[in-house]
Amino acid sequence: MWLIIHKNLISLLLALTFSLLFFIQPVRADIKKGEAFYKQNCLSCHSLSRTTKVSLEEAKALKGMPLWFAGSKFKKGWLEKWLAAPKPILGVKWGTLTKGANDHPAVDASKIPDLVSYLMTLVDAEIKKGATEPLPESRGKRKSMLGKTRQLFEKHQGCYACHQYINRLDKTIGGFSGPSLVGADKRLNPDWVYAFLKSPRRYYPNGGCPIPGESAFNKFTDENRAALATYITNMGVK
Amino acid sequence: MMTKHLTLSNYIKLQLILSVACFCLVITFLPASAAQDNGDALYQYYCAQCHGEKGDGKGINATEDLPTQPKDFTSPKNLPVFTDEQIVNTIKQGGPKEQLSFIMPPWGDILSDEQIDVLKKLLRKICKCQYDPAAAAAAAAEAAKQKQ
Ligand code: HEC
Ligand code: HEC
Repeated sequence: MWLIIHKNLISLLLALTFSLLFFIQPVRADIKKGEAFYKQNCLSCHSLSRTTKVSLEEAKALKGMPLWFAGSKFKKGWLEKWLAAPKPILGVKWGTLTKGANDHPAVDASKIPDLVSYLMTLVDAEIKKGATEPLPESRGKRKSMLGKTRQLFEKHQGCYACHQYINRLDKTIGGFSGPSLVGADKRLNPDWVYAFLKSPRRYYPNGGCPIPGESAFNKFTDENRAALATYITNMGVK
Repeated sequence: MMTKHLTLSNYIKLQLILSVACFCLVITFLPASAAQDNGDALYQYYCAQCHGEKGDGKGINATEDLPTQPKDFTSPKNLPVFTDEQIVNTIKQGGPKEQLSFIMPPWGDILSDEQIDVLKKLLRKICKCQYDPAAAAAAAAEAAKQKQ
């Protein structure tokens, strides 16, 4: 009799520890599952192949931007939050010049870890790390650096003609045809922004964003690009 | 191995066939994308967000925050004062090239010279105008007066 109770107790304890272990163990994201989910739910709008320039007819037929470099472009935490509850990024309805927000499909919370760990594997291997300078620690130095890079953004190139951003007076202003840069501090990786400013057509071959290149009158230097990447990815920081 | 049986003349033939095939592939695919876009398509994709779908300067980016408003191409005041060369320079290298605002971006790394020429012709069609030296001189005199 005693033996039976004893045996039962042991197996109960064992079962308890196992189930506890199961709960405590962090949920390991499954990249393969994330990939399958992507192919089923996202690929129809977001291509995964590096595209080349297409005719504008074809460009207009696309339903979303390419994401083959998603893991380089976006911060992981932002992807997790945004995919669960997407908020407008572009100032226009996709493929039009009509002001307005795009309804983006939201992803169920249970699918996010797999999907995001898959997205983070989509990197552009050619992107150099550490091309940009981090913001200086001291408040004075930080302010002077941001002030200088703001000049580039506002006065040298007029990026805000197409992009919403936060100005010196904390006001959100700017044009609508491009993606808003408000919140870019949480959204974008500085190394990717630098790579994009260096070779914009690698990522968006039809070139809606007229980043000055070789033929521009007001050219960029690599130093300018690094400074702008720091400025954009610290949008709103003081 | 296959290569052992390949005689020299066969090898040359193979090379020829391959290069012809490559050439055909290249000519069918390469120019297709660039040549297909007409002036209207180019204008609506690259310019209308600022200069407006009709060229009247009222694009969605023409916000009050801009230090200089996009030019209204339909106005008789604007394009007649620019030579064709100035228009091409402005589109290719950006406003600062012709002492205009930096808000007018450079397109020379995106659009080919032929495409820029097509756009210039389209602008001349929108304004129904050509370069007018008298108008240019009047505009220059006006600008000089305002500077004083
Ligand atoms: C019907 C087409 C469509 C589908 C399906 C779709 N998207 Fe999108 N996606 C868009 C559009 C359009 C935007 C631009 C949204 C905006 O401007 O607010 C976008 C934006 C994004 C962005 C931000 C891109 C950037 O460059 O800032 C990410 C990330 C993204 N989508 C991921 C996904 C994922 C992951 C899925 C699958 C769960 C998905 N999308 C499904 C059309 C789509
Ligand atoms: C980001 C907004 C923006 C975009 C996009 C843009 N422009 Fe402009 N453009 C301007 C502004 C602002 C001016 C006025 C500059 C000034 O007066 O100093 C201007 C001036 C011009 C001028 C000079 C005309 C004149 O009479 O002064 C030409 C030509 C021109 N744009 C052509 C184009 C073409 C062609 C495109 C598309 C390939 C284009 N622009 C795209 C903002 C833009």
